[in-house]
Amino acid sequence: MRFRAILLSASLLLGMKSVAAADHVWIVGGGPALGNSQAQIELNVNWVIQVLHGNPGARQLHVYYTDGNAPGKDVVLWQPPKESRETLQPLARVFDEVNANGESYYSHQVPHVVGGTEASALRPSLEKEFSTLKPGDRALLIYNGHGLHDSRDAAGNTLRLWNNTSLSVRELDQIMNRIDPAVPVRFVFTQCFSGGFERLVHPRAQDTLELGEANRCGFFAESEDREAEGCSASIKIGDYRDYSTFFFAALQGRMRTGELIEVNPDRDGDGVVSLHEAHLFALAQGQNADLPRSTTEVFLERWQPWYLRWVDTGAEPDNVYGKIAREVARKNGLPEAGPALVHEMRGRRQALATAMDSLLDEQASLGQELGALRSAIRKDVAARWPEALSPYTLNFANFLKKDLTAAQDFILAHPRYAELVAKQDRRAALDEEVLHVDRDITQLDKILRLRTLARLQSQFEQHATAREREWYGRLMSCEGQGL
Amino acid sequence: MPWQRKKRRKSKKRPPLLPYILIPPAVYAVHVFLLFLLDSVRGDGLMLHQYLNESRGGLVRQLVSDGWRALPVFYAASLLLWFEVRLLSRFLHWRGVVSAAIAGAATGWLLAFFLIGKSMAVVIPYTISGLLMAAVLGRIAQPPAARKRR
Repeated sequence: MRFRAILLSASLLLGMKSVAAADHVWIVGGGPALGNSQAQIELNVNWVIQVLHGNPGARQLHVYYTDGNAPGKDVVLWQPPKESRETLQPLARVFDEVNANGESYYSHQVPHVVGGTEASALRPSLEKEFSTLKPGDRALLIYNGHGLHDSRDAAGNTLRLWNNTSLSVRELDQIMNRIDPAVPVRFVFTQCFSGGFERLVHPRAQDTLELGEANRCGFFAESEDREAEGCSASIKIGDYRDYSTFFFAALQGRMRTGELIEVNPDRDGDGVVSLHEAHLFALAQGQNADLPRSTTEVFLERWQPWYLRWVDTGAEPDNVYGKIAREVARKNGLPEAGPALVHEMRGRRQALATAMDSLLDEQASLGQELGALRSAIRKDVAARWPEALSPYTLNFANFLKKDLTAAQDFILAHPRYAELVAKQDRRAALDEEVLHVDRDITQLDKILRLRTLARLQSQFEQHATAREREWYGRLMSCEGQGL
Repeated sequence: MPWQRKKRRKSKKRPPLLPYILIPPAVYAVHVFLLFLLDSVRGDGLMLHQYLNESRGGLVRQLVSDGWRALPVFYAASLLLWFEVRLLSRFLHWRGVVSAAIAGAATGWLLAFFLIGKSMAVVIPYTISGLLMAAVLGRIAQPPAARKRR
C-alpha cells in the first residue's frame, strides 16, 4: 500500500514535470540598419510566427526584432515607382536615385516582440532566458536577417544586428552555454555565410569533429563562405524563395503563397514532419540560389577520412541523399543518374557559365554607358537649374517649389532621356537574369553535393567508429524532432 | 693506409636512405594524380569542380591536410613492402622489379579491398600505388651487380 502511494506520488511528480516542460522558440530578425532591414525579412518573420501558431502544441515565443518596440521606422519597402512627374521619377532617373525613389519606410508590424536586437541588449536578454531552461524543455532559435563572413575563421562569422552591432559564432556559443546541456537546442540560420554557425555544436566553436557536451543541432541556408539568396526589399511574394520559404512550407504544409505543397515532406511516414525532413524538403524543392546544409551533413563532410576522399566519385548509393539527387536532376530536366547525368551537367554548367559571363559583361558596359548618359543629361539640366545639384540646401527647396515641373518637362523632352530609361530598365532586367542563371547553376551544384552526401553517408555506415556513430546519432536525433 | 681502407668499407655498406625517404611522398603524389584522373574520367569530377568553381585555396588546404595524414600510412606501407621485397628475394629468390611490383600490387589490392572498399574504383588507385612503390623498392633493393648483369 505504502509502495503504491510512493509510486503514485512519484508518477504525479513526473507528470507535473512533463506538464511544466515547455517548448521555447526564439526568433531574432531584421537588418542592422534601416537601409538593410528589408520588408522581406519582416514578412518572413511574420510567416514563421504564423507557421509556429499553426502547428499543434504550445510553445513560448520570444521575438526580438530590429529596434524592438521603439516607434522609429525600421523597415524599408521597395515598390517600383510609377513613371510620372508626380513620383519625381524623371529626376530620380537622371540623378541615379531610382532605387531610393521606390523605397518607403515604416515601423515593423511583427507581433509578440519583446525587445530589440542591438547586441548589447540582446545578449543579456538571451542569457537570462536561456538560463531558465530546464531538462525536459526544448529550444529553437530562428534567425532571419543578414550575416557577415570572417575569412580567417568561420567561428568569427557574425549575425548583423540592429544599430550595426553584431554577434559572432563564438559569442553566441558562450551565450548558449547558459542552457542546461540536457535541453535540445535547435537553430535555423538563414543569413549569408550561415554555415559558420555549425561550429555551435562543437566545443568552444572549434574546427573539430568532436561534439560539445550540449545537445545542439541546426540548419543553415548556406555554407560558411557563400552568400544566401539576396534579401530583396520587394514584397512581391513570388519574388523571394529563399531557404526559409521552403523549410517552413514543409512544416506548415502550404507554400507562403497559400497553395498546398505538392510533395509530402514526411519521408518516414510517421505523421510528423521533423526539422530534418523540412530541411530535406527545402533541399529537394528549393529552386533558388541557396545550397543549404544541416549539422549532420557538415558532420559527414568533416568526418570523411583522407583515404576515402576523391575515391569512387562516380558511385551512386540509393540512400535518402541519392534519392533527392535524382529528384533534383529530374526536376531540372537532366538524366537521373549515371555518366549521362555527369556529362549533361558539365555541358549545362559550361553553357550557364558562358551566359553568366556575358550577362556580367553587359552589366559592366551598361554601367559605364549609364554613367555617361546621366552626366550628359545632368549637365544640360544644371545649365538651366544649377540649384538642382545641391540637395539639402535652401536653393534646392526653392528649385523643388518653383522649377520642378519645368525641369522634369525638360528632362522628359531631352533627346537622350528615352535611351536612359531603356538602359536603366535593361539593367534592372539584367539583375533578374543574373539571379535566374545563378539559381540554375546552384541546382547543378546541389546535385553534385547531394551525390557526394549520398556517398559520404554510405562510407560512414561502413567505416565510422562507435564514437563517431554515437555523435552522428546524437545530431540526428536532435534534428529529427518536430517543431 | 689501414684507417682509410676501413673508412671506405664503412661508406660502401651505408644504406641509401634518401630514396626511402622520398618514395612515399612521391608515390602519394602519383596516388592523388590517379584519383584526379579517375574522378575526372569516371566520376563526378569533384576535384576539377572544386578547383574551377569553388575555393581553390580550400582544395589546396584539403590536399595538404590529407597529405599530412596519408604520409605516415604511406611510410608504413613502404616499410611493409620493403620487408616483402626482402623476403621474396631471400627465401624465394624472386628478385627484381617485376616480382616486387606484383607483390606490391597484390598488397595494395588486399589492403584496399578489405579495409577501404570493394569496388574497382576504390581498389585500382591503391593497387597501382602499391605496385609503383614496391617496384621502386625492388629496384633499389637489387644489388648493383644484379643490376649490371641485366
